This record gives sequence, C-alpha cells and structure tokens, in this order.
Amino acid sequence: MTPEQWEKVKDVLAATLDLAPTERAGYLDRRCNGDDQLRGEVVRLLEREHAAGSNFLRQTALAQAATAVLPEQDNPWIGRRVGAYQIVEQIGVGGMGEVYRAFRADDQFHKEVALKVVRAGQDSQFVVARFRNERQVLASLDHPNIARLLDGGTTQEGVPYLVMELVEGQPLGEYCDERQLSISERLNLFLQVCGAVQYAHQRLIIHRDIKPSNILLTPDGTPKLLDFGIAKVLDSDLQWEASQTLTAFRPLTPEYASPEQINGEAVTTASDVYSLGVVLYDLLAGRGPYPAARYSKELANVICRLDPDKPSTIVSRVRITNGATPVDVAQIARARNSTPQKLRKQLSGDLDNIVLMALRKEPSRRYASAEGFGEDIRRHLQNLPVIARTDTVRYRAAKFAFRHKTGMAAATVIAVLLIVSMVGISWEAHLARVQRLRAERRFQDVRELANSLIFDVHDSLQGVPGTTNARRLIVDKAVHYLDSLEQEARDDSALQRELAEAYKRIGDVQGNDFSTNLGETENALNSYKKSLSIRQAVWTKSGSVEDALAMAESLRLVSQNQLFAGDLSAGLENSRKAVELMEPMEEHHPKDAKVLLELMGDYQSAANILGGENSLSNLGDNAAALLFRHKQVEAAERLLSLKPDDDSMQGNFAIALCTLGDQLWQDGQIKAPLEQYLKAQSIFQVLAVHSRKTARARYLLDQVYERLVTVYLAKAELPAARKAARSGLQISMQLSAADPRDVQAGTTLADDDTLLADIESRMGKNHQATSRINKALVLVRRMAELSPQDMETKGSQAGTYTTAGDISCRVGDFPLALKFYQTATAILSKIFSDNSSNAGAREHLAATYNSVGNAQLRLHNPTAALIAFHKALALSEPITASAHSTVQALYTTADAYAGLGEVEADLASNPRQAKASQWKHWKEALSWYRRSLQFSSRIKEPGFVSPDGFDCIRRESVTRRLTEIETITKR
Amino acid sequence: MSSPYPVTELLARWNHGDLSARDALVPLVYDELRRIARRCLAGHRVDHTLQPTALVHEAYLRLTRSDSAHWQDRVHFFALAAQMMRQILVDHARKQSAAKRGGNAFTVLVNEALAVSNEKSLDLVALDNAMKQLAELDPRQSQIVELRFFGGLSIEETAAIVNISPATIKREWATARLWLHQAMSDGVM
Repeated sequence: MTPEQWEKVKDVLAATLDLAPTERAGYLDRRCNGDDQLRGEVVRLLEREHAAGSNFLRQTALAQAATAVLPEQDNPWIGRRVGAYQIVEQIGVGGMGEVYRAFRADDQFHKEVALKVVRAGQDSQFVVARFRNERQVLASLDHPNIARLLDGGTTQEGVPYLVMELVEGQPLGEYCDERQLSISERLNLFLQVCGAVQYAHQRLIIHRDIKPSNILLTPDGTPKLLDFGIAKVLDSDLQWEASQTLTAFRPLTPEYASPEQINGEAVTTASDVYSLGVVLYDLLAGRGPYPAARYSKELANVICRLDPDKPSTIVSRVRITNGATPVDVAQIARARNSTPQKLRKQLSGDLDNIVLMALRKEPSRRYASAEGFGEDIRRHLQNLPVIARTDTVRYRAAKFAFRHKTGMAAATVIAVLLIVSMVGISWEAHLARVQRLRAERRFQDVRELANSLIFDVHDSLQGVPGTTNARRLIVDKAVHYLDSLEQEARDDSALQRELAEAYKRIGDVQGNDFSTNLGETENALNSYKKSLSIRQAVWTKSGSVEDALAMAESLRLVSQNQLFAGDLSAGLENSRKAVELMEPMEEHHPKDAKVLLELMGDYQSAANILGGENSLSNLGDNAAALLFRHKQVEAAERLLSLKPDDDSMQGNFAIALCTLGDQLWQDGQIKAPLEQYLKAQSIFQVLAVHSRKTARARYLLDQVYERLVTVYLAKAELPAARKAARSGLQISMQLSAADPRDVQAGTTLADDDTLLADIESRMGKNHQATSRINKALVLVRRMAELSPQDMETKGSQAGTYTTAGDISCRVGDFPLALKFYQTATAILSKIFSDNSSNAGAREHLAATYNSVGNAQLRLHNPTAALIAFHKALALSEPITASAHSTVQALYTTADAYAGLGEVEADLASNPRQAKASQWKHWKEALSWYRRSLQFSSRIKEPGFVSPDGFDCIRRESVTRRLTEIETITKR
Repeated sequence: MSSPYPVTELLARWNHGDLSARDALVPLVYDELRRIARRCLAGHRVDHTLQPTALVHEAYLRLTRSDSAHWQDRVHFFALAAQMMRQILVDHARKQSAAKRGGNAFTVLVNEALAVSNEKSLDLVALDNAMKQLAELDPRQSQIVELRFFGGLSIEETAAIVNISPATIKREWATARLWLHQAMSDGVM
C-alpha cells in the first residue's frame, strides 16, 4: 500500500466507524463506488474492531511493561494441570500467592477461571493454614458483587489452591474516569461495593485489603470485589500472629491501609470502612487523601497523624499536587462530568462530612459498619432531609462561633443514568428510526428507544471543545421529542410514568449538568413541572401509593427549585401540596414506612421554608413552622412504632425532636426546647452504646449537649450547663488528635474549653476559669498560625478573646477586659468587611461592641462607650426591622440602647454640672431605656444569657432604672 | 534570577525553536527516564493503576525542579519522553525475549473473551516493528501512537504537539489501532 492509498482507506474507515453497524454496508457501497480494493481494505480493518476490543493499546506501554515483569519461565505453574484445570498464564499477584488464568480441561465450552495458589517458596504450614481459611471464608460468601468461589483443592504436593470466577473488568477508578461518570453515578457504584462489604461483615469477615484495584467493573457495569486473600475471620479458632512478623501479609498498597493496620493493632470492620473511605475519596476528588510519600515510613506517619483535606477543598485548588503529580482540576472535573465550581459544590457539605467521617483516625469515630456508611450516602442521594441535614444546624453556645448558616441546599443530586455509548451512533439515524417506529405505533419499542435516545450520548461529543453546547442541543431535542410523545401517551399510564421519569431525569441533567446560571435553573424547573403534571394525571387516575410517592417526589423537586429561584411562596405552596397529598395516603396505608418517611420529609421541608435556620430561604413565620415541626415529630413517632427496633428510626425521631427544639428556641422560648433536647439526649445516649452506629450517635449527642448548654445558660442554671459542657467536651476530646497540627480538632477543643471557662467564671470559680481560658487562648493562637486563612478558626479566636474579656470583667480587671474585647472586634470586623453577607459575623460583632461599650463605661470613658454602643446599633438594629429578625439581634439592640441609657444616666449623675445639662442627660437616658424596652419586649422568654452566649441586661433592671429616673425627673 | 537548572533553560530554548537545545536535552532526560523505567520494570511497583504520565511528570520535576513551568515546555518534554520511553521499553523487551526459551511467541490477544484488565501480554517488539511499518505509510499517525501509547499523553496534549485538532487525533488513533492490530496478527514484522 502506498501512503496515498492509506490516506483514502483511513478516510473511509474513520467515517465508517462513526456509523451504526447496519448502515455501514450501504455507506461503503456508496463511498467506494466500485473500487473493490478500497472496500476490501476497509472491511478487513473493520473486522479488527471486535478483536481489538477496547483493551488493545488501552493500557500504556510503561504500565504494561511493568506488570509484565514476572519471569514466566521460572514459574513452574505455567502450563501445568491442577485438578480439572489447565493453567495458562499468570495474571497477577494476590494477597498470599499468585493468580493464574486457567480453564477447565474437560469443558467443551472452554470457560476461563482464575486459579489462586500459595506463593512459590512459602509453603510454610502457617501460610497453608491461612490459605485453607480463605477457602472457608470464600465458600460462605455468595453475593453478586463478590467474586465467586467455584472450586478448590490441594495439589499432589499438598499446596492448596482456589478456583474462582474470573473477573474481567476495569478497576473502579479507571472505569469511572473513562466514562466520565458523574458524582452520583460513582456513588451508586460505590454503594454496591458497600453492600458487598457489609454482606461479608455480617458473616464476620473483614476484607482488610480494600483498594480500587480490588474492585473491578465488568463490561456490564457490575462491581466485583476481589481478593479476600488476607481476609480475617473474626471468630476463627486459628490464631493470627501480629502482622509485622510476615511481610507477605502486609497490604501491598499501604496507601489504603487504616492507621490501626499500619500500627499492627486490632483490625475491625471499621478498618474496612476506612479503606472504603479512601476509595471514595479518590472517586470524588481524583486523588488520595494524603499527599504521596516517597518512603513507606513517611507514608505510615502521614496516615496515622495527618488529617485529610476535605474533598471539596481539594477540587477548589487550580492544580492538585499529589507529591510529584500536578494534575489539572479541570481534568478531574471533566472525568466527573462536571466543572470545577460545580464539583466543589457537589462535594461540599454532606459528602465532605461523610467521607471524612469514614477516614477518622480512631476506628470508633467512623461509621461502625459499611452499611452505615452506605446508608448515609443513600440519604444524601435521595436528598431526604433526615440525618445528614441536622448536622448543618450547628449551635455553638459560646460567643465565638458563627451560626452555620445553611446555604441554599446543595444541588439536587439524584442518580441519573447517562449511558455513554461506546459504539458510535449517529443521532440523526437514531431519531429517524424512532420516528418510523412511532408512525407504526409500536409504543413498546418507542419507549425503549426513547430512553436510549435521551441517555445515550454520542461518544464523539465527549471531550471535544464545545461539547456543552452540543449536549445541550441533545437535551433540547430530547425535550422536544418528549413533548411530542406526551400527546400520544394520554391513554397509556405505563408510558406516562416513563415519560414523567424521563422529564425528571432531564431536569436533573439540566440542573446538575450545565452551569447554574438562572436560565438553566429555569429549564430544570420546567422539566420538573412537566414531570409533576404528568405524575399528577397518572395519580388522579390510579390513586395508587407508588404514584402518590412519585408525585410527592416531583412536588418536592419543584418546591426546592422554586426556592433556588427565589420564589418562596410558590415553593411553600408545593411543599404544602406534598403534605396534603401524603397525609391521606398515610390514612389509607398506615403501615407503609415509605409513605411515612416521605411525609416526614415533606413536613420538614415545609417547616424549613417557613422558618428554617437559613435566613435567606425562610419566610420568618415561626408559628406556622412550629405546627409542621410538631407534625414532623409525630410522624417520626409513628414511623418508630412501625419499626421499634430500627436504630435509624430511633435516630430520626430524636433528630425530629431536636429540630422541634431548635424551632422553639428560634421562637424565643426556653423551657419548651429544653424538654425536647432532653428527650433527644436520652435517645442518643442509648444509641451511642447499643446501636450499630455508635459513632454517629455520639456525634449527634454532642450536638445536643451544645444546645443544652445554651439553654441552661439562658436559665442561669450554671451547674447543669457545666455538666452538659463537660459531657460535650469529653466527646470532642476524643477528636483531638495526638497531632498538635490538627487544626479542626484543636479549634473544637479550644471552643469547648472556652465555653467551660465561661461557665466556671459565672459560677465564681475564677481560678479554674482563668487557667482554662489561658489554655484556650494559647491553643487558639496556635491554630490561627497554622491556618491563617480559615474563617472558622478566626471565629473561634474572636470568641475566645471575648470570653477572656468577660472573665476579666467578672474579676474586675476592666482594662484587660477591654484589650481582649478590642482584639475580638478587630478580628470580627475584618471578617465582616471581607464578607458582608455573613450574618453570623455581623451579629457577633454587634454584640461584642456592646461588651466594649460596657467595659468603657466601667472605665469611665463615656464618649468611647457611646461610640461602641452606636456601632452595635448600626449593625443589629436593621436586622430587627427585616423579615429575618433573630432573637439575638433583639437582645443586642435592647442591650445597646440600655447601654446608651446607662451612659447618659452616668453623665447625668455627675454633680459638677449645670442643672440644665443634668436634665438633658436624664431625658436622654429615659428615651434610650424606653427604646430598649421596646425591643426586649419582643422577646418571648427572656433569659439571662442571649442565644449566642452574651450576657444581657435583664428587662426588669431596665424597667427599674426607668422608674428610678422617672422619679428623679419628676422632682 | 537565572535558572540554575540547565534543563529548564534548554526546554525554553527548544520551545523557541533551538534544535540544538533539544539535542542537549536528550542525554539528560534519557538517564532520568531510564532510571524510572528500570524501577518499574524491576517489579517494585506492581500496581494496576500505574500511571506513566505520573512518572514522566516526576522525571520532569526532578530535572527542572519546578512544577509551574511553561505548559508548552512541559508538553515538548513529554513528546521527547515518549520517544525515549519507546526506545527504552522496546530495548528491554528485546533483551527479555532473547533470554526466553523458544523465543517470544506473538501473544496479542485475539479473542476478546480472554481480555482481562491488565493486559500484560502485548508484545512490544512486535508493536514497535508494526509502528515502523505504519510510519512508512503515515509518519504523523505513527507519532500519534507513540505519544499516546508510549508517552501516555492525553488527546488534548497530543493535539497540542502535533498541532491538529483533538477530533482528528481521535480519528487517527482509532484507525491506527485497527491497522496495528491487523499488522501484528498477520505477523508483519
């Protein structure tokens, strides 16, 4: 062949490859136009397509060469016959020995298997016994996601071998990257792996060597977990020696090993959870949790001591350095069918927390089981606002921490199956086929094609610049297509259901896939609305529970998206509709847990919109919100009675109680929330010991303790507050790592110490309080040095300084107190100026200005005091006038006015001034105090300490002052 | 501040068209790559997800001591590395095959059913010969294979070096694969 001929052949070949197999013959005829030689060449090459498959040249040369190293001629197993099997070649190295490809010698179908034998030269009795154990282990495992054991035996020399299902597939990470699977698709695959691990755990088997190369995906997309080779059976009577004696059993890839494995300590199901966590981390963030270390000793140190960054933080950098490998974040995002900004949003919040929890150094702080891990992920995927959500409502009783304002709910991550077709298909040809079928009214085929039409994306569109537009075009076409189909589907309920589902998926794609500019959100909303209207029609006809649940889902999606778009009232309306839909459903199906779960979620959703934590997306209607919260609790209770032994139902109930408590607290009450928190506390306490999710329960218990401290402080019940603070401190001390460089743990510890110091100081234990606050100050300064950009650390710093100021006040050292307060305001105003929408910073800054004012007052600096109080007012009063007025803001404003009153009263009582001037000051004082009462009267149940932990002036004392002054001025 | 590392400077000069700089680079880079290859081939890293790009990056970093170099310099480096990597690996394969008893039988897997995730049986010597044949028909296409398969470059990176669009790269790659597969099964050596 000449180069010119090759050019022609190449041209025709490339074009033919783009066509569907059935169209190729026709095309070739046309294109070659009688040139048989050309046609022949092309056809010959086309025939190679199948044989080359996707594997030929897929793995690059170096990787191949590296794995091809084991010298086959030295291996006595190659070509040998073992039992009924004939060994062909080596395909890898397992935990204890080699793995070979073999086939059944007497099998006419030539079925291939994987045959594992003990590593040559290590036939010690110990190893053999262990190998026999693996056979025992595997024999008991029968799960679709675990490589199946087929046979086993011993050779003549007494070497045991296992025959297993030969798994042909790609490692998990590669599989996902190649197909550019989105985060939710990856999570769904991961869930299957969790299921397999959980299955093994239930049979008391720990895998101990979970890593991506042990998770292969078969061509049809099924994950298979391999190599339980060094799995340990928990109740085995064989005694394993500590793993440091035999390097053969050390995991080949320490990157995935848990700290306890590295230290040779006890390995539990939580160790598998850890390894799963590393796998998940990689799947999400495109890199392992720790920077690559060159020597294994360095790596061991890193794994045991260094806390990983959040996955969302990783992808917010422009480039990721993983030791020697700078990788472009855009690439990582593309491999996840996303953009760097979207990816960061997808990962931050729930997913960050879930992954990091699995990666905790202490086994007891992780998910206790793979199931718990999986369930949390499942909840995240279903966007059911049950367990994960409450995390975002973090109460910090001390002055420092900002209320974690829950931002807009993370983009709805719902599993969307976008099947990327590997074989090129032409869009037009496909469409033409579909239309022909429709004309023939073959709806069944249409339905199948409709699905593939929407979700098969032409391979050549992936990765090419301008892809987004092309894909958007496909989605638009799909929507047009669905619209036309809708007309014809009126009478076919089954088709309608599929249509509704398809619209919903399109909505998911539109909401997730493309940028979050308003135009696309609009489109997503429209798709969801279409889905909703169809589902409504279907349900009206059938009245079935499934259809009701589907409609409720659509209502929820529409409601959420309306929220994103800022249309609160519409969002609320749909949320209410969901409630109205599901309530009668429950009446008719009182034992249906799914219905109850959905109903509970809808109540929570409605309550959030009406009066949730997020001041940006709630209508500020506490009373209405409370109604729904009560219903939420009742629904949770009913759910619990359906499944009284189910820990998650217990947990749900406790969480519902907490959310109710939070709402009551927001309403300005004190006694009622306390009741709820105490109930929740007792449930979590039980769960913390007896459930399978003790770590989770303890974490939630810690959350309750924080709330309890706030409440007790408000009631001035100091011993109770101290007890709760101590309990909370105990739990979070378990967090505090041996590594003094762990900023998160250090900050939490400092926060808890600050809180406790505050309480001790209020109780008059000055000595203890002072030494504790000094400890906290040192710690918090060090954390700020380590993490100078982190806002939460700064917030903690400010809080600790403020408390230090309060403690100084209480012992009478006002100059020192003032210094502390001023340092705090400096920090807070910097944060506030960098980020003026941070409501938490604003409120705390205002309250701290009040503290400054009070200190200045005591130091007899009236001018400075006035300035401080006015600064406080400038920040807090506008909040009280807005729709999102908070109780804290009311306190702060009331106190600022009272403070101004105090200043004027002070100035008035100076005897060395003219009567007229005195009179003026008294008058001012009166007016300020009256203003103060105006605000404090809006607080339902005034406490001694404000919600964010600031001392407040009691209403009664203000009233008293007022009366005093009125008496004076009447004279 | 002038760079104390000759490699960075040479790369920059090569990028500006100085071919003598490229010649000067070859021995420097070759040594480094050989070390890496030796380490991998010695089996100290039996890792299914081995990334050659990672290793070449590592080599790049060690030679230039910088990780924020001019993107184009890096890409040039990789092109060079791909060439040299090919040489190194094929040499190694040749030595190995000479040592094996009975010569190295052609083992490209023809039956798709047998293909496994780590396809270790690819005969690099045969591939190298087939690539030489392809180069006689279409030198650019052979270079593309070299960059992608030996250098581990992505579609975009390859497109940047060869200076054609990614879509064309895909086409070239797809057709080259088929041609090479056929050449190797026919025993065209």
